[in-house]
Amino acid sequence: MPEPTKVEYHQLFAGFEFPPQNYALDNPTVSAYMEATKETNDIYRNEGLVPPMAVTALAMASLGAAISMPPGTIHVSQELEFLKLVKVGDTITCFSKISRKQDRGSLHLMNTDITVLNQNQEKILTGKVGFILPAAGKIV
Amino acid sequence: MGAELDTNALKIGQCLPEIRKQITQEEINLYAKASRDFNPIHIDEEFAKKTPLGGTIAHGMLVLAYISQMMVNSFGKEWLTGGGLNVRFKAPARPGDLISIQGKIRAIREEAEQTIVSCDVLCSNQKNDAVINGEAIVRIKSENLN
Repeated sequence: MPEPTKVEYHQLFAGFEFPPQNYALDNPTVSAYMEATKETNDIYRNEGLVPPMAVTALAMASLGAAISMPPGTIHVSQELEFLKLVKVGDTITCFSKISRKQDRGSLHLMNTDITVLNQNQEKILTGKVGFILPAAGKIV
Repeated sequence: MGAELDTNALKIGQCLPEIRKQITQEEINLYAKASRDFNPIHIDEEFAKKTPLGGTIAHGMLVLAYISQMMVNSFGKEWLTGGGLNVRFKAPARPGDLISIQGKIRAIREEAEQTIVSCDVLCSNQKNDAVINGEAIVRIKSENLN
């Protein structure tokens, strides 16, 4: 899948929607996540399930692929809701939308809503991500 | 291991089974590949040394994954279909840090054929500095309770 063109922070506005990104939750993808996080709960391996935070990580990857974040950007908050079981072999589509963008002194605050659907168009995860970005040329 | 807690006997103030994780650069590198987040602040020690953070830090989402591990250890599949998190990242976790992941049930309420369990959750390092804190919620369907 080609990488989307990155959008600069100054081009973003509340309501801006990023192009959706698709990910196949194949065995290598899920295994790599479980190894990295030292996930040991048998519920995943025994039932072929995907940790919800693996889905979240890919939703965040879709954001990272879409926005050109300046050095010093801080991920300050995260809300998540897990709605349905996700299975190895599922394909997910991640949607992201800027819900709030505010300049406060030398910092920029930005909130993004994320929604993830499975291949049956069922909503499996929703969330909100909060970032603080430094003004150009400043690193916080 | 499914769920460690008996969801029929939950009590306010009850502690969730704590887990501890040692952060290593190797693990951070593995997470960068798995999550496709190659921000140099996580994986490039020379770059990170020159920033105000003074060295590499773990991805916040890696540490947040540990809270999810504690919750699935506690509530099993209920977490996967009715879990929710609302957290703030308070401080970075660094290679070498020993992270303690703790949770405690703050409230239990019945609502529309489900039991909603609210937990305070905290990740702290070996100096007892908060790395992540916030709330986790689990919705347990009444049909899954005895």
